Amino acid sequence: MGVICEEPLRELTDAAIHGEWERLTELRNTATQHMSAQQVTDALVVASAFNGITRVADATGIPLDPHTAETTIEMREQTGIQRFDYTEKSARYDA
Amino acid sequence: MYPKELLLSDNLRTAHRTSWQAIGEPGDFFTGAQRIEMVRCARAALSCTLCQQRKQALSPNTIAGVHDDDSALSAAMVDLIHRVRTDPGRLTKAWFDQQISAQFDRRHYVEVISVVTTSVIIDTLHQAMGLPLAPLPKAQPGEPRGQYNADAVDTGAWVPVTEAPADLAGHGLPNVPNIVRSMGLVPSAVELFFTAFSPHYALSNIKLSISQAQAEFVAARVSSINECFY
Repeated sequence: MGVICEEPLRELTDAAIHGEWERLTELRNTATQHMSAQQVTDALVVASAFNGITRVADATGIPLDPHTAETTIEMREQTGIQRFDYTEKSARYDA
Repeated sequence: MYPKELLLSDNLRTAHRTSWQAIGEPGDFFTGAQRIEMVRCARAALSCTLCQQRKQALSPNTIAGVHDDDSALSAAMVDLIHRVRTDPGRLTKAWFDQQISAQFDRRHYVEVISVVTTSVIIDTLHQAMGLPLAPLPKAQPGEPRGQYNADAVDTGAWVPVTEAPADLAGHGLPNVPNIVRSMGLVPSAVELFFTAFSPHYALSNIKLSISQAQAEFVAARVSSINECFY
């Protein structure tokens, strides 16, 4: 189970965040075979916002909100998100 | 700031214009000229050889060197900005503690993060829409105001954050999630960033042509690429 238009959404997002601008130009055109031009734009609107806000979170070291921390333990392990925990990052990256 | 034909909302256009101009104005700990230099530095990071070498290394902290940047900012600030711009997922608490003890006041740090991340949003959207980067804003005269939130609290983040009640909203997160509190040590930093961010996203009832589920999919994908835990 996924979301509608998952594949073009993923491709647009990946190209935007990895800075693949020529590929993104192509993808903006091809994605309109599956989505409206407005939806393509709005997907990139969300992606650009999260390219900024993830940096705020990572640079300030904010913990998960308590309810999220309590209810997502299993999901974080299963999806690999737990690898991004600050303590685990320190174990990997601090000399 | 954006051509009329682009399918961007008026709210977003106004918000980005407002934030962009605000970057050129004095903040609470830096002048307008210094804030603009932070944006220029963040842009330079994308073609920096040292940043590319660090990105390829198992740990960025094993690679020493000098950034490709002729900035007037201090070497420590250039390093901070380049790391936040090019490799935010591998910032660590030990690295942060080192910066704070040797280089930065926490309030200064928060303002730098706000300016750089605001510019990341605006620059990313420009590039994603196939536009050239916006010209840097004009520096406005004046001295930093020096205002900060003396009542910011320790909740386990690296910096003190805004105090807020823990009551939950309908979407399951607190009415004031930690991310909104994160730069609360410097209220103007919060205002700058969230002025630009707010028209892009909402936790519920998102006012875009894609569904909430699609927006969350995109958000999760970005978070994964950037290795963001939150």
